[in-house]
Amino acid sequence: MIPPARVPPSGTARPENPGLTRNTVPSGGIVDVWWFDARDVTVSPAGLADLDRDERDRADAFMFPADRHRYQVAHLMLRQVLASYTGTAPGALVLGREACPHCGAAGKPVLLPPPGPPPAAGPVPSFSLTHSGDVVAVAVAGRPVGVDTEHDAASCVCPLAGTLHPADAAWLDGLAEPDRHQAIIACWVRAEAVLKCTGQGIGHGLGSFPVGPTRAADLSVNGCTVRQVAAPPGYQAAVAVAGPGHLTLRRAAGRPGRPR
Amino acid sequence: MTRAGQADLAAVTDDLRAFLASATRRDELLNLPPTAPLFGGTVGLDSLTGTLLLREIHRRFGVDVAGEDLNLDSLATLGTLAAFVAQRARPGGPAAPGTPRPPRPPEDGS
Repeated sequence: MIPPARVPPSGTARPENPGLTRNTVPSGGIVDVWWFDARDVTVSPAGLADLDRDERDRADAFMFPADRHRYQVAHLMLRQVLASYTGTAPGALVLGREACPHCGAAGKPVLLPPPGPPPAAGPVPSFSLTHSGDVVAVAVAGRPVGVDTEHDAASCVCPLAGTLHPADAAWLDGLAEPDRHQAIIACWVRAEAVLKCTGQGIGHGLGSFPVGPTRAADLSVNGCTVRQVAAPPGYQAAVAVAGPGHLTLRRAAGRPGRPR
Repeated sequence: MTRAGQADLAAVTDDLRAFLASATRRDELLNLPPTAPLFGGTVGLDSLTGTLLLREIHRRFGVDVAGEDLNLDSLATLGTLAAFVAQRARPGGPAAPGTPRPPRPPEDGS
């Protein structure tokens, strides 16, 4: 079974009130995971002003309004969460991209330190953003971190087994449905969480390391510690943090309210 | 002139639309125009769905898109992908072994 995630200590700021109480950037293998439901969030013009040029351009490129809304919610919530750790206003946060360690292409989004002397505000948090369907998750840690969530696919996912590590494909092959369907998606989110943690683009493939079959325990793989985490019904999710050891989750669930 | 094994472009396009709509439970994708970019966010396809799409193309048409199109130019839009598949389709399924790689993910990190 998935171990229950811990709720942050009382007094922790909710992301919509970043000015009230500052969240502390987690240390060691601790990861804060914030969950949002895009259906609960109304995007206001004032909120959209917090997005940077790149985010606005990407939002404008969506063909369907529902996709645009999910993207806007994901990025507004990301900025509000990060603001709660840094004390910087959501619209003043500067996001950049790290080079993919495999090919050097601009890849993993990162929070850039503010210009000028080192901030007295403390460490710059590492983060990872994922959204699938109506669900948005933001993971925050003091080390490189990756989170992935996937909506349960409506179609058969058996073909995905062939993209995973051969050892994973072999044990998945021995499972009966519907366990196999669920296990394939579980492997996928774990592998993608690891890649998002290391910053290597998924375009290079996700089958170079095995991620199964242990579901509950921490798994050390590819320089990361990865674990399946509780997700909303109909979704699966996994979190990975850089380095060996034990992964401690602090879960911040709930309604984000309306961005400003 | 149609060479042997070539598939009808319109039929392939419809097949790809139908698969995407089914895999994502989104009927609006049944009307996706050929000019619609598939990846990079325009229609909100995630990496899992994109990989399923390429595996389905391999199963149904015998075309390993990632293996045969090294620059992945064919993934630019629904129309370019359908044209690439239609030109290389081998009725009856895969003609050569291969493991399609996942496509590039949406660039916002989802």
